[in-house]
Amino acid sequence: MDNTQESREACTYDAIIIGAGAAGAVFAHELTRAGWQVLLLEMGKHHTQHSKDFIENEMAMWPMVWSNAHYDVEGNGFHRTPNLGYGVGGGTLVWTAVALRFFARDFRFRSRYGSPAGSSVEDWPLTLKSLEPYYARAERQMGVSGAKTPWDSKSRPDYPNPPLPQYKTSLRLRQAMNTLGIRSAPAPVAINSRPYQERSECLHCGYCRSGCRVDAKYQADKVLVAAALETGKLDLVTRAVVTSIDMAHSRHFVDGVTYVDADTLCKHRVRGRTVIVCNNPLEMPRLLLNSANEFHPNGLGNHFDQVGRNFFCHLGSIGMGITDEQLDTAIGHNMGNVMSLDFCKSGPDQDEKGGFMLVGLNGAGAGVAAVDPLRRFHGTELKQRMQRYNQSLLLLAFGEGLPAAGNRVTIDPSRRDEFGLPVAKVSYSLLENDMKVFDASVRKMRSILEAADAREIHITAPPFDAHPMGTMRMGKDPRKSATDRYCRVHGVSNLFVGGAAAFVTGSSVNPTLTLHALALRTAERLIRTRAHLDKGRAMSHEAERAVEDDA
Amino acid sequence: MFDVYLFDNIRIRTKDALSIRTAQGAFSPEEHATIQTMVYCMLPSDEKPGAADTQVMGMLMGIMEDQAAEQILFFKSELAHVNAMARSMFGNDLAMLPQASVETIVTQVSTSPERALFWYALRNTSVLCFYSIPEVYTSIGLPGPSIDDGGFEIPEAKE
Repeated sequence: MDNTQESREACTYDAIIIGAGAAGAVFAHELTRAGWQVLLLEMGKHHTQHSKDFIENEMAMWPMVWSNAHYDVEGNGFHRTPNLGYGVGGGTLVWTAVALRFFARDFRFRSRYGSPAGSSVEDWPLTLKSLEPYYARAERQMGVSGAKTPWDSKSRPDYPNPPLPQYKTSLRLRQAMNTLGIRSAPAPVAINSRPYQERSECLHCGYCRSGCRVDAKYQADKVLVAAALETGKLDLVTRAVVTSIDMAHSRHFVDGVTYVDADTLCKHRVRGRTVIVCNNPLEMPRLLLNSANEFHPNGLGNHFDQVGRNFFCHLGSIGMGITDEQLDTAIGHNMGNVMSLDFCKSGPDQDEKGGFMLVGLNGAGAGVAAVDPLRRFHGTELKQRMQRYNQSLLLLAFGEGLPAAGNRVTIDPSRRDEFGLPVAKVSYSLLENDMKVFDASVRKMRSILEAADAREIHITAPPFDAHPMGTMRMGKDPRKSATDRYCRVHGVSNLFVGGAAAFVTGSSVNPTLTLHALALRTAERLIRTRAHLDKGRAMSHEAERAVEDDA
Repeated sequence: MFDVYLFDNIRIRTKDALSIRTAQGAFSPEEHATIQTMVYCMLPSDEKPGAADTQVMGMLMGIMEDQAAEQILFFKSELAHVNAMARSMFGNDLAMLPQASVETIVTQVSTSPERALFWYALRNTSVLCFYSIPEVYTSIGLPGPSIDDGGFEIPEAKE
């Protein structure tokens, strides 16, 4: 592929993907393997040599892999938690690799629980069963390590790799949970327990969040983007800040995108038959709203004012139990050496709807303990507790936050970034149900840490926002959703989204495996539709219906 | 995934902000002294290294001075509040007070809802920087980088 700027602007790509993170990499991989000419635009850099580029130190890695976006904020729910990694590989460079499937009930929240006060919950327009083949494929691509857990169905296929060894902290937490009648197991993690796909096994260094220097952890740039580049069909442009998605001829089709080279500040326009937006759930609606045009004066695909709505996060909290035993807390993969999913659903006798997961933490990023569970201390009181970091049990709860129509991302035209674009405004207030779930998770963490004979227990409160989701949720009704069941933006036939923005609800388990599976499903759909494009048919709703009939 | 406020609470980057930031030093010597006094109180030296024994102030100021103008103005305003409190209670700026008075002021700032945004930004960034410094994390028993030495062996679990 001729990758000069002139050639880029002269050609029409089969697909333009915005964002080379967890979802964008999946699309790039799948579409190039199917023969598509793909342009992948990424605002960050491409770190091609992890062993040399990455450093075992979270603060040293910070400027390299964490997004430095700025948001105007309203409400008590959003604390600008920087868990949206950027650069080729995106969040997978710094994720902690817990790779859980959603439960069947997670796709049917409204049918199961109704609509808690203030929420805008709906059922997903798909089922677990329809997503299972893609989950299985995602697990193989990632090389997930694990063994069947008490919460898995009997028909569940084996994980590609066996589980990682259990750490001292995990054994002690499991023992405590056992005494309380709580089931526990190692979480499936996308970290190699043995060499896999020519990647190393885990060395238990404790620095997952600094990027994995030996690639034992699944990182999308190494596994998927590298393979896509090898096809010769992928044109990867880094330091490319997309400023608009362009539409010139029809209200139903986008033509391409405009981006700015962050180094030269030159503006470029490129054309594509399909555009797939895979940046994060905050930047995605911002881009669509900033792409308003004569056909879509309120923002691209925003005819029913749904773009940016129904935002939600997981409610995070860390429990720290300081013991008298040397537990080597600082070593090991960072999350999921032990977990319990016993509390992911609520029963009819409980006030809260939904639930929370519990997962063990390890790792060398000790500063996180100082920031979170120990946030009320400073001075000698803080230092004395940090002195016992390696004697500490760390337990993390993710509670299921619910979407609300008023919790949303908008843009503020009076405030602009360095490229002249209105910045995003995040309005996010926690719901009553959110706080009930959070309170239940704190009580449970405390009881487990007490059962583990922790001498001192400290738990984060109020919760922090983790895993932003929603803002472009899927649905059948364009008056209640922004995208259809294949993540296509309502009203724009060739504009798709990838990532957790499309989630309708978020379960309480980590979202990455699900967004990976969803991207596989949408990519497969696009490839099947391509046959009709090749016959000269535009990707119209009629063509889509024909594909469905064929299927 | 963790709760880090850093300096984002009102950050807006504009071309004007960038030019302001590069045209002049962000914090005056007095403001720098106030920040340093707070950080040294937050992370005191004892038998283990404290902030004064490390380069944490350099790391912190590097981050703070890299913020947008609006953010820097917010911090300047908060530092002025802190010094006003110090003068009101003890008759002098924070950096000029004896340690016991500094601790009183810092404790008051740490529990004041009005100062919460400022306090958490300063505290979180300071402790993250502090515990990422090799002499600090080794002092609390953390092993540090190990990949180039083959990482760690995990013994077979005995449940």
